[in-house]
Amino acid sequence: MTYRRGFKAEAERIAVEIRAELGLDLTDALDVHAVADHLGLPIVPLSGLSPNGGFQAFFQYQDPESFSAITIFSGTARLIVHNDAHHPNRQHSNIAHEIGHCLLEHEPAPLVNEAGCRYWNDAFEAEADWLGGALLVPRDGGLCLAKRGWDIEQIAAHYGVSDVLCRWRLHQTGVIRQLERFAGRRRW
Amino acid sequence: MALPRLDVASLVAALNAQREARGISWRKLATEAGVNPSSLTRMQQGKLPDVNTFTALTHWLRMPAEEFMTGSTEGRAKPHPLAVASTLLRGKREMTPEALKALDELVQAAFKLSKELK
Repeated sequence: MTYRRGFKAEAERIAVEIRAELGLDLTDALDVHAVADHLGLPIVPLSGLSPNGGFQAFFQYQDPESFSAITIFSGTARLIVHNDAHHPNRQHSNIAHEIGHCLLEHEPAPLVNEAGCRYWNDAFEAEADWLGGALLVPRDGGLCLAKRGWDIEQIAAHYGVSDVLCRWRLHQTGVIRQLERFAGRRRW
Repeated sequence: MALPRLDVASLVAALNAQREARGISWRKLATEAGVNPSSLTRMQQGKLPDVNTFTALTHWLRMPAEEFMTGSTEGRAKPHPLAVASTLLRGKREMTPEALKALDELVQAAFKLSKELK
């Protein structure tokens, strides 16, 4: 994925700004619900919606992989619904992803295109993934904890994310490379 | 006698109109006006701005504060509603017809809730 010029730096900056607004250090765990509250974004679990057909049972039990989270637009206001049947770490990531869309001012789209297939914007999804990850595992926060001797599993547990997401963030932001150069050997 | 109140929707609409006309982001608008970008996000959710933010924004708009108090009638920008809820969805890229049907039910339920929360 090639991001637009300057995007990664912009995303890291936004993530740091949001933490500062919440009075959080880069090594503090981020509560995505606190971020949403700060931005005035309502977060509703799938199980919290009024039943309307069998969609809850479908996304909770039958095909949970097909739905993680969604932002509904009504005028300028957003509402985020997320799949609370997912693992808590994954829920953090899902909500952070949707918050990422909001902070990046991504325009809403129809659910399906003219062919009846899911409307998908690669760039938007990749950008929201990146900013969501930056919110949860800030680059310099991960670096600081790693320098204290924490391993990936410990850093992931601290930030409330999966090992996979943590490793991805530390790898993509160059933290792992920097640490290995510093240690003069492969560590991770 | 009803007290005048700040009409956040009109203020957001006016900001959005100028923002779109100039082709700038909300974040850039915030920087130019000297306000916190998160304040603009909250306002889009219908939350009231604080006094300093409101003052800075009306100054940026070059419009008097009275324009955005309920009860003022002339020259007020009308909020433009979206006729249909549109979305940003995280999930599988390819969805089965059954999943799309369930998603449609979900969106209807969520859209109904979003109206109730306003």
